[in-house]
Amino acid sequence: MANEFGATAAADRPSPSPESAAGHTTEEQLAALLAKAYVLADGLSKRTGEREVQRYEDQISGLRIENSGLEDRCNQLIRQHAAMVMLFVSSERLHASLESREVATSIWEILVNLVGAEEFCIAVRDGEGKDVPFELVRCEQVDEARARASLTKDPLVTRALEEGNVVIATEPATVSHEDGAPGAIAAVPLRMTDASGEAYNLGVIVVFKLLDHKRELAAEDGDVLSLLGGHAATAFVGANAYARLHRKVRTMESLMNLLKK
Amino acid sequence: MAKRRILVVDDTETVLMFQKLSLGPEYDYDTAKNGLKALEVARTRKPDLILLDLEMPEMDGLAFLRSLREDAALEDVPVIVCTTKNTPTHVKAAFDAGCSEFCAKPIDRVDLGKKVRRLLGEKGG
Repeated sequence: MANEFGATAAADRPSPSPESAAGHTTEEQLAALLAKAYVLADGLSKRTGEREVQRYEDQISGLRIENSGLEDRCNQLIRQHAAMVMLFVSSERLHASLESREVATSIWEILVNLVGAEEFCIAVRDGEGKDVPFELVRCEQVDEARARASLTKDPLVTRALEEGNVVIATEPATVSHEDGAPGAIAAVPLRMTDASGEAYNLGVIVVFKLLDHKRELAAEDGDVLSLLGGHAATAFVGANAYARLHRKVRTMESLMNLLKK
Repeated sequence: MAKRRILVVDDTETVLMFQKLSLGPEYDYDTAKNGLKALEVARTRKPDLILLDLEMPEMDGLAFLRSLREDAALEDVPVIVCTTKNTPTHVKAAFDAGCSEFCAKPIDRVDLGKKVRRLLGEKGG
């Protein structure tokens, strides 16, 4: 049977001599056998080495693929964690104050630093009731006239207010207003549910432009905007209720002081 | 081993909270809302790294950075500038003033993490 070097066992044996036939091996035969053994060992060693190297290379290649997969997964988890942190921080900040102005500042901070919005406005109904018109409480790098016009004329804003959901433009804003400026790229209705269980829009956030290096709104940005839609409304309602209560308490205190006098 | 200390400098509470929470509990944090306060904190408790906003009241990020590099005890502290101002002019000004890295807001957490680890000489940087 042929061995791995292609020679038969019989062929590897030295040819028999009179001495070997008698059970003896000459020095020449031993030397030839030894030389052949060295050659075989050398070949064996090389081939075994090559196989080992190949095996290790295959292992390294497999580990590289596994490592790359783990790195991708790790980065994905880091991004998920960052998205959760964004939501947590947004929620925490929105409810950190009972001042309407502070609530608007928190929304501004979230939109600029976490979402990457550059031009936007925040509008809230100035008083109780669903028919009270929106009043601008903050305009960031957008003039008031354009912001005010978008509240009633921009189709994206109208759709968001009608549907009660965040609407993000799927294509670059092309809607032109009277001043030639493009329309909104996202609208966030600030939704609230009244005592009768009916939902209404307390206000709206309109985003006109993102920072130059921010190409588009990602899924996690959509989540933050949705959270703003719900939590910003309750934060404003809480702040307004607190302000009303505070005014009443002060009036009562003044009355009490007058009565005491 | 003691945790590395990061000084986060930004005038908005939202960013301070976001950066601390997203980098996680493996570091200790100090915070400051303007450059003057940041210098005071850095001189009291020398940080291993600083995350710095550019636009702040009282002393802005660039002025803080120049003062930091003039202080013999703090000149070698790595600084990552994190700002919404991502124009070539702002980037050049930040590096001229002595920043080590630049990150545009909104922060990409993976990118920031790599830069932080690299500047702190940690694995995965």
